[in-house]
Amino acid sequence: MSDEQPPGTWVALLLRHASREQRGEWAGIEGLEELLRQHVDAARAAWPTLQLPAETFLGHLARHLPAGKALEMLRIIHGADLYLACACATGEPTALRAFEQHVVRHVPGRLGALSPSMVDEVLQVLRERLLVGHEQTPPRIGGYAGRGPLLTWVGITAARIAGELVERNGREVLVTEPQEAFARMLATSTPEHDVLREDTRQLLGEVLQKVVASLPEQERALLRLHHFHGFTMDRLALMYGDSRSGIARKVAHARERLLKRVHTELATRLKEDPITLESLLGVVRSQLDLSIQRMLG
Amino acid sequence: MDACPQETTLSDFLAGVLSDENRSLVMAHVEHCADCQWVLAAGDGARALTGPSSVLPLPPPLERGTQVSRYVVRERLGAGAMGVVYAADDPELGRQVAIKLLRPEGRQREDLRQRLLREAQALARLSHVNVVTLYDVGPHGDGIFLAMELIEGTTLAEWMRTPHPWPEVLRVFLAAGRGLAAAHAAGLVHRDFKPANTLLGREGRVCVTDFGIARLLHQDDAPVTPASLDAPTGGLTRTGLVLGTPAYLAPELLQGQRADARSDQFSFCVALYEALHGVRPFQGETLKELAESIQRGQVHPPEREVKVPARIRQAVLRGMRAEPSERFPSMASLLETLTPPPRRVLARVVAAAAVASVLGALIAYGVTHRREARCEQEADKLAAVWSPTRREKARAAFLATGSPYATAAWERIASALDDYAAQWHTLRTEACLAANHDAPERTWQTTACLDTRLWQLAAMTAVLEQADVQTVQNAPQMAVSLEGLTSCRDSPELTSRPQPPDALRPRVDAARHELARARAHLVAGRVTDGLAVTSALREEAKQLDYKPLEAEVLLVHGELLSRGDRPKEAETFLDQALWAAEAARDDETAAHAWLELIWVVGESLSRHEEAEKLVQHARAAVERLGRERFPDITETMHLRIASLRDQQGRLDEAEQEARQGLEFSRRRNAPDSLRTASLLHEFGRIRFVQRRFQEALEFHLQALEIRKRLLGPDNPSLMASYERVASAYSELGLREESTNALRTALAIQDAASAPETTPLATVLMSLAIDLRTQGRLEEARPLLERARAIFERARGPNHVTVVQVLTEQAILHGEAGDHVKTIDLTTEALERIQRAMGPSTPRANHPLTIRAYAYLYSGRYAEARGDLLDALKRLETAHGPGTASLVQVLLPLAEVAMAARAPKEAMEHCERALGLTEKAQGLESEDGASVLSCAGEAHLALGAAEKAVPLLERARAIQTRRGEPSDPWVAGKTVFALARALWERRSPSDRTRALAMADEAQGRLKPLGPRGKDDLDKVLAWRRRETKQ
Repeated sequence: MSDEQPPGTWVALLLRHASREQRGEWAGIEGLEELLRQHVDAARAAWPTLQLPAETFLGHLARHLPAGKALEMLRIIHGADLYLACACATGEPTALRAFEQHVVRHVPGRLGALSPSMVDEVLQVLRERLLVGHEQTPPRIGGYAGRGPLLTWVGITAARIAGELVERNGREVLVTEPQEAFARMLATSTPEHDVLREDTRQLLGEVLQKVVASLPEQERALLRLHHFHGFTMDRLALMYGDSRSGIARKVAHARERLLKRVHTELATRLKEDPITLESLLGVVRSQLDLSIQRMLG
Repeated sequence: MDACPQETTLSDFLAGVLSDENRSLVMAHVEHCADCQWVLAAGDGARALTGPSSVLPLPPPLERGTQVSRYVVRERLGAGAMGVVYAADDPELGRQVAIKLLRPEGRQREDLRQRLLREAQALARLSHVNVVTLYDVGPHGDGIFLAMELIEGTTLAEWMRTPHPWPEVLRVFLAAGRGLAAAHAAGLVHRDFKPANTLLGREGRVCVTDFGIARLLHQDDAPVTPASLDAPTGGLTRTGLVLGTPAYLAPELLQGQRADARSDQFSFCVALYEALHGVRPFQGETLKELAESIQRGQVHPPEREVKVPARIRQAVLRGMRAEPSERFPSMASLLETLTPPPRRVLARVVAAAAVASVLGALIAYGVTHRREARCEQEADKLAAVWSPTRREKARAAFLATGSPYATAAWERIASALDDYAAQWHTLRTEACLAANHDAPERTWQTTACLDTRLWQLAAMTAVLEQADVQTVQNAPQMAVSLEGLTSCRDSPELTSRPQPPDALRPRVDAARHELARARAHLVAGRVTDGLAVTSALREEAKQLDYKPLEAEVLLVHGELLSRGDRPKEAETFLDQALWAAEAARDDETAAHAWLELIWVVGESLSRHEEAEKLVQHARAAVERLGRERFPDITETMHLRIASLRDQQGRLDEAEQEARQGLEFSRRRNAPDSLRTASLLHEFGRIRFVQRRFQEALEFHLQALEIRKRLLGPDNPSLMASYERVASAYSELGLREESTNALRTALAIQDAASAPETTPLATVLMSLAIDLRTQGRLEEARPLLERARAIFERARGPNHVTVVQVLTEQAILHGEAGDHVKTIDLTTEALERIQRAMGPSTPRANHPLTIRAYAYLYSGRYAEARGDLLDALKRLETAHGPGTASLVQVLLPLAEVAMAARAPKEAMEHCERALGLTEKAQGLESEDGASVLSCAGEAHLALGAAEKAVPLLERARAIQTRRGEPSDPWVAGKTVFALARALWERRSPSDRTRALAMADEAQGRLKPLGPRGKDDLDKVLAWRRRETKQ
């Protein structure tokens, strides 16, 4: 790829891979050349050492532009990530190394608490599945369409692989029991919680389990996604197709309900022990405050 | 949608590019599919706290010359998962530093940031050759920065890639281990020790880094060192290593428990095993398998043949035991076992020397690399005193008492002791480590002071382990009684007791240790147990012939006797304590003895003459010590003197003393302090005697609140506070509030099934008075008998409190109409009080007044008048002619004068009482109503009905201002006087109202039974007489 491409060249390269209908659609896109140029530039800036010809990349891009939505896609597409995926699909060694270093390397962090041997296994299967083609089928990484970051797509694939392996091996539980997860979400790693005594901690855990189980499924899922899995309000808004403030309100509402029930439950169980009750409510309350801060921030 | 969506669908879902319809379908599935939630989280990367994810943009790298706090960035050294590291200059100190920028991300970011800061600040206090020094820490933008020592070299993990001879491995690990031990000694736990966190400098220096921080970030990536930073990850084979591994984590951490020093020991031994044998000791495909192989102690056999000495192999295996308690008690003892034999002998010698003599500290000088381990060992003394086992034992003992507030009391004292123990450990280690730099004399004073405090703690835990009801009740006071630790560091010369010559030291130390136990018993209120200890110690102290110790023992013995209500014996021993203390020039013990004597001689034994001298001595002793230097003693002094002055009826002095004490105590204590509460009560008592009841009530209520907070709401010690609150309510006419407070107090006592004490007696007496006022004489009688028995047992027959009960019993008889019995009892009360407090004591005024009433109702007016004038004289002499307490005598004097048909004289008394009351508490008070009523009746008797009516109307209005009058008898008499005054006006409307008032009087007096009978008869007789005409 040289910098001296004459104007209109990117469009021409793209059109080489277009069907008749696509030609019609793309020809009507204003500023297509500029959009393509931006993606190519971004890709080259991100991966200066890759050898992948621009034409191959644009051909790859063309295959991932759905009919009728080309412009929409071109605006959101992660060009540099798509470029890398495309290069990997061609088997370019530099690209494979870059993929390893810039993508695979970050996958373990997203898998949470798996044993190292398990992580190794997941990564091996991941590489094999994404990077290695078979007689008829090209490497699966070619299926990445650039909508959303590559790491997200790879992370999801890796997580699915982990799920399969677990099912196959049957010896590691991937997803912590949601109830316990909630207990952790409300109650671990705060200094207040650290000072609680073991039996009290257990009590709090029990209460939380009971209360969480009593929540409506939707609320439970929402809380779990936000507090346990750490989805931001913005992300949740995208997933739920809601406004950010709408989601924040829903999360807050679910939390309110959860905390209210925790209060009631604790108060019933600790009638005889107002001091412990106070300190537990303190823990729960401080968590509520933290969470509100986060929602505002 | 039942099948889980495809990867690309989920990815699009996250990116928000699905059609609404598809999005809803996916969402519906995700809501009930935990697997998909987890998969999505892996895609979103929200779980990953840092890292160049596409969601969270990396901060732009800092340019050369950028300032981070005071440091100037020179170049980027590299980036690890935890953050970016730069080389920077510290222009202030002219040295190079490494700056690590940490950017906690994801959920609980703020929380994490705060904890990182706290942790880093703790680490910054640590200075040790085997720990990377943290110079500075602070916020930077969203994250925080750490400024650390710049170490060029490699990591232990890199170094371990190639095999090394075992002695070399051991050398490196011993150094790293010393770094860990030093951190432990400072109360820090690494929580994530592993080869990748240990640096090897070019000159062979070994440094542990990232204390506590790595684990906080939950990120196990390679550490940031110049050597490893931008190194290639090495491709497929090394991915597992890059990620990090739980292989070094102690099993208790895998189970989610808290890390302690022994968890670090485990990680250390795993790494050492790996370094020695080239293979990790525990293996497993999964976390669970890994944990299981640790539990089974199934160690993977060495990969390469290494001739490691059995001693080392054994030590490493012990350090890797699954059960923390089976490992070495500390890094220090592990290191000692690992250390090659010649040095070990030396270490033993040093340790022995340290134990044998304080000079040990000087011998150890130069053996620097051993000091941390030794300091750790010394500080481990704590474990024998306050360990989880002992804690549990004490808890069990508390709960076994069955006391309803045992749990609450336990939680309070346990957390106080936990804090105390932690602080002790830190200070003791600091002091030990400082032995090298500071003046040895001062350091030694500090450690001696701290060790004394440890005896106190030991004594207290011993007492707690045998807790009884009394101990539980006094637990809060026990927590308060632990002397502050920081003063040992800040001013050890003031805090340490006189020390014996070296030859005597072991025996004196042992005796003082025992004595601490006796003190703990004293605070716990376990007099008999305490006396058993001090009695034995008295012999020992005599033989030792070390005066300061003798004085201490005698003092505690005397204090125990005093607390056990044995004032006579207490006085004897306190005198001896005083002499011994003077002989030893021990001002502190002397001051304590003087103060205790004020109470014993002045109040318990009521020998007021002698009390004067004691007060002067005590003041002088406290001055010599320095008020500010010994604030506890100063507060006790104010309290004791104020209480004595109050007892003596010298109210102005009492008030002045209490005010000084309160100001002093408020200035130096947190608002909640038991001494502050005591002083508030004292103030309340003074105001009470001055008949300023509203103020008295407020002081008592404040004190009650503080004591409730500090002692727990069910503590029987609160009885006294409730009693005082009740009496103030009662005087304000708030009868119901008063009765409620007293019933609360009794309920606490009954629930606690605590032994019967004097505060209980006071409560019983007050309740009896309340019942009597309502005419329930029969209910009141047994309460008074119980109260009198308690007081006589505790205080002897002539004590003021016994006299009070006697007088109250006399009133009870009088109100039942048995005036002869009243005269007998009051005469006896009078004799007793004069025996105790001298022939002219103002305290006699109450029995005198009651006897006067009995004479009055028996028609013996002259004798009644004589008694009252006697009482008046006593009060005037004691408090001056302007004191409001005269009102209690002036009113009966007026009644006697009226009965003796001397209305003019009656009027004089009434008017004087009116003036005094107006000045003290205003006329809108119970006393105010009484004096108005008095003046009204006098006018009536003088034939001035016109003047009488408004006064009596006002008195009636005051008495009924809160609905029911507080004393229906007094109110009945007032309203009857009003009826008569109205009748005298003769107008038809006044006469109608007069009859209505007479009805009201009957209504008030009738339910009182015998108590109101005389006056009821008068009303009925008047009615018959007037209506007949």
